[in-house]
Amino acid sequence: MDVSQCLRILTGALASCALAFAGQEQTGSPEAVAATKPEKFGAIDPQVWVTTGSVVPALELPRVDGSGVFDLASLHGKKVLLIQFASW
Amino acid sequence: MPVWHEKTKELVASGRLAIVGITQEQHPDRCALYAQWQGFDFPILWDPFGLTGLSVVPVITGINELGVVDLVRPHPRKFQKQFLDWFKGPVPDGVPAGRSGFLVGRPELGSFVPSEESKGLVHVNDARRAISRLVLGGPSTPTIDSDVGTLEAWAKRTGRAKDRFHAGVARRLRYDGPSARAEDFQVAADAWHAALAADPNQYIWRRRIQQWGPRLDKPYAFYDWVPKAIEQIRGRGEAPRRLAVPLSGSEVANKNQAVPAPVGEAAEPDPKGLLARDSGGLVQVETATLLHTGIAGRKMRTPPGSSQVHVTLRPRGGAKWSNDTEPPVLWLPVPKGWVAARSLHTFPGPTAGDGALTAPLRVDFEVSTPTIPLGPPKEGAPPALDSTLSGYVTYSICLPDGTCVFRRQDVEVTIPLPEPPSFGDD
Repeated sequence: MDVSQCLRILTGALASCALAFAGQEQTGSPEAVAATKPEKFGAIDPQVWVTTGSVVPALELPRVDGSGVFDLASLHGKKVLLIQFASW
Repeated sequence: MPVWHEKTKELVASGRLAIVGITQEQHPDRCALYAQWQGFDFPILWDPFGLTGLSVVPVITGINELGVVDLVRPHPRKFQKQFLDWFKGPVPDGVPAGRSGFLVGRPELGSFVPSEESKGLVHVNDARRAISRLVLGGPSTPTIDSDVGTLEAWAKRTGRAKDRFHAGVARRLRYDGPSARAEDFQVAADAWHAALAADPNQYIWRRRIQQWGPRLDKPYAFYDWVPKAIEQIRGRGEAPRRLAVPLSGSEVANKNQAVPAPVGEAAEPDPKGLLARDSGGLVQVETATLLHTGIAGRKMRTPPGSSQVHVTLRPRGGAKWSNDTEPPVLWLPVPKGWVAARSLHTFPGPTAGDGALTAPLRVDFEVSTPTIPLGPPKEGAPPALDSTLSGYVTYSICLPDGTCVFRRQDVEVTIPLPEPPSFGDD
């Protein structure tokens, strides 16, 4: 198995994990949430996007046109111009 | 965005460059329409919760073949010298030591969990799962009620601005779907205001409020391009993408337009209260008030600018709008000293298309409160301002058996006012 095969398998497996994760039933109730200690959670460090040398985090989001989910990891091997914007 | 699209077309066609957009908007449909209008042919991803962590957009980033950022904030005017030099640069020959860019796959959901301490705690995963489901499923997510509950409980527990914003996003998502509750929009707005008060530098959160807020709080018109886009798309012979959630008046308002002057008073529709009340709950009345974001993080006695009032009428229990009678109206006079362009507001009638006769009808308008004197209330001063406006709506609505009736329903709109300052403030 060469390196590219390895990468394809790994990427595919992890993407499957993410989708399965998203579809899991919730195991804890809101009360259970409230009863536990708050931890860091929520977002990527925004400095990643504006710091040369930063590793781009895994990110999988739906397309705005409803045509499915897109994984940034699918772009490996290409240069990418990432534009974060709003239409307002 | 259009500039970059135009300049990079050949590079993208060569297969060596990919462009990806991410938009931090509550609704994906507005950006999808924009992309159709501009002819964007690259993926644009929807990030309503702001998971990328940015506080302001646009942010443009060049990423190399290994998933490492190596061009930051390129400028289109420096396309030749800056962008093309980067693009033509050598391909990295390996993953940097100790790093794993997207080339080698995702760190398992690590983008949501920046700290070691959060691993393995089920409650964190509950909130993460809720956000994942809502992003993927949108307003129709089957678990949306429990997901909203989870995110609100999490926000209450942590008290963090980011979590409050997430809870607000979830509430507004539910408001735009089949599980909408009357209070959802107001609760969302309150959560966003609380988040912004804790972090006034978060401009994406500020914009989320301003989208539905008063005209004078807008840095520019948010979606005034929509009518022009629809016209031009149709002119090309295409069908414009439909907006699942219609634009509100606030979303197209421009602060540079003249302040709406009070118009001549229209006749009150039911001054003697003779119309039959909607005792059967055929229509649910929903109100939300969005304040000027200038209140965020400040103690002020005088509300800056105006507030935007949103009133929605939602048919319930199989009731439908009548499409051949006059549209519903809202009668909402304001007390002396307040300013509103009119007391009588007419709802737009049902639009064409499937489900139009059961879709909510909405109006929104500005209301300005009187100036409240600075400093502590003086002895013998008049009582505190009553911030509740009372009025009613009248509408023609059809029962499931086809019988149409004319009904009235009372409405109260609350304009929250800042708390009086304590001594030593101001």
